[in-house]
This record gives sequence, C-alpha cells and structure tokens, in this order.
Amino acid sequence: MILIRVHKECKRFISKCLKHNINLITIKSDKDDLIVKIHDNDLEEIVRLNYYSQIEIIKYYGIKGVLLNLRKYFFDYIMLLIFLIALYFISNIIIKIDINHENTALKERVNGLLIEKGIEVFTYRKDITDLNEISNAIVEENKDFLDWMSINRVGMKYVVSFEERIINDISEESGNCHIVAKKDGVITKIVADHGVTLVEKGDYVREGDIIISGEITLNEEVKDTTCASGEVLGETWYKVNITVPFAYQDKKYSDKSRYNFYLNGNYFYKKNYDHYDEEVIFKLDIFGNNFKIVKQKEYELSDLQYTKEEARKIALEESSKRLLEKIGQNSTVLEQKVLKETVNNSTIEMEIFIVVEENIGTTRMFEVGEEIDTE
Amino acid sequence: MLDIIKSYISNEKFYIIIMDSAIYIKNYSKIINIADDEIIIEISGTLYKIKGSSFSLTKSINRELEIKGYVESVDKL
Repeated sequence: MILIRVHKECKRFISKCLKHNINLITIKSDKDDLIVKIHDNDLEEIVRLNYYSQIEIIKYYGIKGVLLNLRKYFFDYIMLLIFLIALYFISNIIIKIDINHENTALKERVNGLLIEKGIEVFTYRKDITDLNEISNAIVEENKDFLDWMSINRVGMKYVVSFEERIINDISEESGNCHIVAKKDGVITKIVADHGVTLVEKGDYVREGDIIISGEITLNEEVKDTTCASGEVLGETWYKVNITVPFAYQDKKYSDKSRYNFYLNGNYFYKKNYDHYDEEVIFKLDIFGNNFKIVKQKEYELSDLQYTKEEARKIALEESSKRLLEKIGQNSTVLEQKVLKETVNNSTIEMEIFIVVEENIGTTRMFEVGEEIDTE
Repeated sequence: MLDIIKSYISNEKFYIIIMDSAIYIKNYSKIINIADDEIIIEISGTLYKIKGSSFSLTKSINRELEIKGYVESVDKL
C-alpha cells in the first residue's frame, strides 16, 4: 500500500476514484490537501485519471516500504551498525589497571608480572575464569613475596588486589644469631640494634668474623643470648678488567618523524627512514590480532672515535657501573685506581682497582653453648 | 457493537449504520453526490438523501463507504 498526498482538485479526485471504483483505504484532510492510502496497483490508474491533481507519494508500506527505506538510508544504517559494533568492542576493552597496595615498588613489580600474563591496558577483557587462573599462576610463581592476589573487572578496568608474603625475622623464629662479616673489609660504620659489638670503626675483619655478637656476656660469662641485628658497612675492594673500543656510533635525532600503523607484523606505510626509533602511542590486542599506532623518529648514525682520555673515562665509569650492578646499588664507590692499561689499535684494556663501601654484615644462627670458629 | 458485527457478517443486501460522528454504508450501487451537508446515494435502485453537517469521506473500499460527519436525517427520494 502507498500513502499519497493529493494537492489541488481534491473533491474531483474523490469523485473520479469513486466513479471508477478505486479503493481509498483511508482518507484524511491536511489543510487543503488529502492524505490517502491506496493499493500499489491503483497508483498508475489514479495518476492517469487525476492528471489535474498533483499527486505525491509520501511513503510505501510493507516490505517494499522497508526495502526503500533501507536503500534511502543505507549509509546511515551502516554507520549505525559500525557504531554499535565499535561501541561493543570499546566497552569490552580495558583502559585502566588499578593495583591496590601502598608499596610503590611492589606495585611496579606486580604490574610487570601482570603484563607478562597479558593483563595490560588496551587489551580485550578476559572473563572471570581466565582472571582467576592468571592470578593463581602469578601467586604460584612468586610465592616468595606474594601471599594472595585477586583480579576483578569493574567496567573498563581491572582492579588488582594482593597481599604481600611477610617472611618472619630469623630472630623471631630462633632467637640466637650473630652478625658476621660476609667478606674481608675495613669497618666504616657499625650500628647495633641488638647484641654486643665486638669490633670498632677502622678495624679490619675477615670473612666469618663476628662483628655484632648475640651473646650478652659479663665478666666473660654468657648471661643472655639474643639475635644480633644492626647495620655494618665496610670498605671492600675489587679488581675489574674492562675493554673499551675506540670506535663508536653516535646517534643523533633529526627533525623528521611520522606516525605509522602496525597490524600483525605489517606496517601500513612503507619504511621511509634508514634508522629510526619507534614509540608506541596506542596498542590494541584483540582476538589474537596485534594493532598499534606508532611514532617513528628518524636518527642518523655517525661513526666516531673516542680519544684515549675519553675511552679511559668511559672505562672507569663503566667498570663502576657494572660492579655496583653486581654487588648491589646500595653500595658506594669510594676510589678507583688504574693498575694496568694497554692501548691497542682499536681498543683500550684496563685493570682497575675499585674501593667500595658496602654492607658486609650477614646473620648467622648459633645454638647456646656452640663455639664459633672465627679463624 | 455486537449488532454492528452481526449485521456485518450477516448476508444483508445493504445497510446503513449511523453512529455519533460517522456513517457507514455497505453495498451501495452508486454515489450521486457527497457534499459537506448532504450525501445522495443509490442503493438497490432507491435513492437516499442523508442530511447533516461536516461530512467527509474517510474510507471507500469496494462497495463500502465510511463518512465522518453528523447526521440529521435520512430520506428516501
């Protein structure tokens, strides 16, 4: 059926239709016009008979009307569908991860573990079963510092809660311990919280020597025992061998940069720069597809040569850095001395003696009556 | 209401139903005139004149008519 508007000669229109037995399903007045519903088949004859009237089709009913509507608004329907699909996906994308804990270092550590398991921003949400499996796996693999963990999805974010595993002090468990030297060194600082100090600042100690004793003595008689605790810093020394090449490449960024799109190993734009660093602006992992928007910054490499002095300086810096990484960042380098230096065509080799101040105390348990061999 | 349904499905040759603000005619033979205040219609060889006000045709399907308006009188001509 069709809805038409008849403009001009409306009465004549009705008379003609009645005379020719054309069905008029509904007839309504709209100011001076008529709005009439007719059958599809009658349209041609109506137009032919009522040539003096202006007849305008307002709409089609039924399947034909639906199809015409679809065709007319096809683009709008497609955009609506795309919008709904995008809305569905976006609302299932995680945009934030809240880790509830007061310790910032632990939070960062847990964040790293979560990222390894695929719990990160701009990824498709995981269901509760997967989240539970992941949290259990993380706790299982990190029992040394994690007691419990839960990951819950709240809207578009994950809320992660965890409890740290508290390892009880040895002193609380057993009650008897000394602080002994874990390596040879000269005492630079000693602060005893519990126990009796047996050495002083400036004393040389060897590995195994008792620094803070857990035995409380009076007149050479042990009156009581405790678990000694405190801070012991000492000067220790190391010999480091290092080789530094004279040739190096200097990296200098140019003003050029651009954005590129990445999908499953392929870039949208072809490679434009010989050398570039890439920064991920936006990342989305969804159904196994890896999509990224990246910023590529061009840089130029120049082949340069250190001078002997520069190479020597780098060797000293690098040797300190590597040593501190090995023994702990809490240590301090006090002095460096070059013992041996060999200059080759392309490298410089150095043997460096480094004096470091570090924590040399360590706890050692003892039983009451046990004789400690300090030699 | 039941009378209307009953009369609709019954096998009457023709009928005219007069309602508060409308008039329904079934099986007319020919429409002579429809004006604002008058309808002249032929039914089974007889002319009927329906007088009233604000008449306007709202439906015309096969031999049935529905006309909105207020009826004052129906006369046989």
